[in-house]
Amino acid sequence: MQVAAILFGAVFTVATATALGTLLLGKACGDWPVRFVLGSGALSFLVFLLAASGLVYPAAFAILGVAAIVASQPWNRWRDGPGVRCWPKPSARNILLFVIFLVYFYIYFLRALAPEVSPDGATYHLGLTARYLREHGFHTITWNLYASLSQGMEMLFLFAFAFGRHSAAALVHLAFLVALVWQMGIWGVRHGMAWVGVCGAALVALSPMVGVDASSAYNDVALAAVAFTLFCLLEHWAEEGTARLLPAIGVLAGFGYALKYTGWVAVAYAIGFVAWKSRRARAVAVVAACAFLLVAPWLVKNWMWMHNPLAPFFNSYFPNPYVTIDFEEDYKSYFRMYDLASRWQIPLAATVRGTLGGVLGPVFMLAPLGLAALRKPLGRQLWLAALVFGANYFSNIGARFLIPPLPFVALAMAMALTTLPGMALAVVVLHAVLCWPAVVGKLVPAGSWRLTLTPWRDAFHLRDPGRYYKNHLALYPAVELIERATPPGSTVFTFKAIPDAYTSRRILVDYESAANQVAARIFQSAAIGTDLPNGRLRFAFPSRKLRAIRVNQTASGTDVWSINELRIFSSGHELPREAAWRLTAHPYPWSIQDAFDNSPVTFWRSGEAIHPGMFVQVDFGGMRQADQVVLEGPTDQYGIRLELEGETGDGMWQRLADRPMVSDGAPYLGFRRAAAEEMKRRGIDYILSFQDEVWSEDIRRNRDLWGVTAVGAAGGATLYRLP
Amino acid sequence: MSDPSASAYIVGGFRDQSEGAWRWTHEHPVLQFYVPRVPRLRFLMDLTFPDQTFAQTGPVELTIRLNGREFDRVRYVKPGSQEYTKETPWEWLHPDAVNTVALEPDKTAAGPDGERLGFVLTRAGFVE
Repeated sequence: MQVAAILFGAVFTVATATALGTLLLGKACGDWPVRFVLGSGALSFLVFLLAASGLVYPAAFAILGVAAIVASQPWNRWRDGPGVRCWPKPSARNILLFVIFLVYFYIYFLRALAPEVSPDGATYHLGLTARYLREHGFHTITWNLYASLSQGMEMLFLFAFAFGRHSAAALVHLAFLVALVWQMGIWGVRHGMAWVGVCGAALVALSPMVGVDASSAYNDVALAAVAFTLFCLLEHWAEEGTARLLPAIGVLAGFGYALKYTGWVAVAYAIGFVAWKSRRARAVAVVAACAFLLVAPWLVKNWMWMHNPLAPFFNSYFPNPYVTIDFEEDYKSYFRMYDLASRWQIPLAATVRGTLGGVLGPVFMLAPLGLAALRKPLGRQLWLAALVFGANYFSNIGARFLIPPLPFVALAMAMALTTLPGMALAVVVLHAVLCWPAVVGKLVPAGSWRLTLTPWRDAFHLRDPGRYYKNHLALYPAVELIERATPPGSTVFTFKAIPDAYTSRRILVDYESAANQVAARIFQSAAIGTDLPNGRLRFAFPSRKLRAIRVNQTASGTDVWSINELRIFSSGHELPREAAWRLTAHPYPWSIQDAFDNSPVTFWRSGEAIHPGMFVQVDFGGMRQADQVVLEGPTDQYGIRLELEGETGDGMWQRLADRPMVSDGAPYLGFRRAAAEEMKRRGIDYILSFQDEVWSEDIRRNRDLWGVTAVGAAGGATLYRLP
Repeated sequence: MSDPSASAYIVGGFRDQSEGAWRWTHEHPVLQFYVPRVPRLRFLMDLTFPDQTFAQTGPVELTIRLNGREFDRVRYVKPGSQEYTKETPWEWLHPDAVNTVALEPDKTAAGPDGERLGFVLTRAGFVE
């Protein structure tokens, strides 16, 4: 029954997408892959609208799907037959490749049908999807930066998930691989190079990276399918000049962005291509407008909820409380290099070693051979598209970010290889051998994301899926623990991205938002003593009446400025904080009140590396006598340089002190308890701590000091309830 | 002791002027600390018996009184820096109130101007 629901969810989604594609294209293009991929863009857009309207219900999806299918009159399509009729002729080599395709797709199908255990699929791709279904649409999510990415694929997942849950979503992604491979074959046939198309498709389809990605609830293969479909549609339009294709081209290009931010190049490619070929503003405007229709919802959603249309990136252009600039820089910096010492290591790492999160297959070391295709116009078009869709690659050098340009490279390779008799077949067969899961297992390090053979009993859910989860999803026991030990509606804080697609609880992962990072710092300072506010920076100046004070930071460097408490004194007595005080800070003004709340565990943090122009300011709302300002904070802010200014009532600012006197303060007592209470105040109910985390020992041994209660343990994790 | 507000923790028995990050004690140094309601606090201090004074006093026995009750008695047989830490019985503390800690050396050395010098205190207080 479960398998039936999964298959129904996937097939109904693909059928609805195909129907919408048919409605958009009419008779302009009859190929299923084009109609499916284009219709997926339309379906994704419609599901977005339903989610934005709070109408995410299986019944609403059923009505939408049935209406689209009926309106597209598929019986007419069946009567008309397929769009391309000159299929590759049966021959020994074609049959051999067909068998190889079948075997690999069977492996992929079993994996997609099995319980979803992919790293990102089981966390944010389907975690957010499940949340949208539970909540019947979008709600503001500021605690998870992944909710701010464009989620065009998640909208398709949502449609499938409503009927078939997790595995249905993975199967929908697999449908994009079928569409891509099919489309590559059609491209070869159209250009009288059927063998090139088939070999190129085989190089892509058998790649371990492509296989594991396509059979998971990811979006990279979908983007590759969009890229290649767009390429074909533009070619089709350029040959036939069919104006009806222009809106479809725009929708497809916009869908590229909606699928994944890196797909923005699809919009540039489509607009550039149409402008170059047509030189007509109207044609370009149609493409741009249709693309914008699919891009705009994601921009608007982020603008409304995250104050940044391009969240979680470009935070220096759109400052917001949810993602800090220093985090963005660190995040991007890691993905630009992973753990490589040099970019020259990328080819080997991505094709053989698997140290970039997967392996494309050793045969792709031969990709430079494809440059021979540059001699032909078609080859040049393929390489241009490969360059465009690979343009973002160096912003994240993960192997799966090479999937979108891969079809173009593979076809160029096939063009070159087919010039030598038997060579293309030999390379494809070698590829099939080297990409076999057991062989890949010997090539790549343990932990690298790769395909394994899925027992059919697991695939068809004939065995307890819990066993499968535990074998393939290391952190699944922690999720089971959370489901078992916490009431619905609970919020759990953790330092590991657990598979939250399998829990309805709100999971806060330490790095996934600025607020989570603050909670993490509060916890870590209490547990392991990092950033304890034991430093004192004391500005002393002749007593005088002031209307406001301002602490300026004047240095540049990599430190991030932080203040736990800012206190102002007169004759040894602290000025009581008053409601009339106006607190401001630049940058990151949103948490400045945390430096004036008398809590040592909370803090204001600049959220970006220090530079001149940063300040914290207190306007008293009247004249106050003062002679000392003390900043309490971490002792290791060696790079900051501070000066103090005062406003004397005439609007003029005067320097009160050039530099502070540095000293240590007494450590705060009850810091752990205060940290736990502050986390609770911030909406966190539980902390999930893993044995291999350095802070786990402290909370385990000092539960009384924290005031927490251990409510359960599983899989190396202990769940603590906050006081 | 480098905390400019360190004087707030001193009841008596110390040199008036701070030497910076440390202070000389006299015969009966007494400190005071506000202690919140926190279980399992430890009393901690960093102290030094300089060679010059140790040459006069020889081994020193330090009696530590917590809120007037004898909490510990420690014998220091060598000069130099020492770290002392011991968990305090919860029932001996006054939570959410000021608590006094008296540090009484059994011997002191003669300093300039006739003052009696016990030891040098760098850091003292309760920690979790």
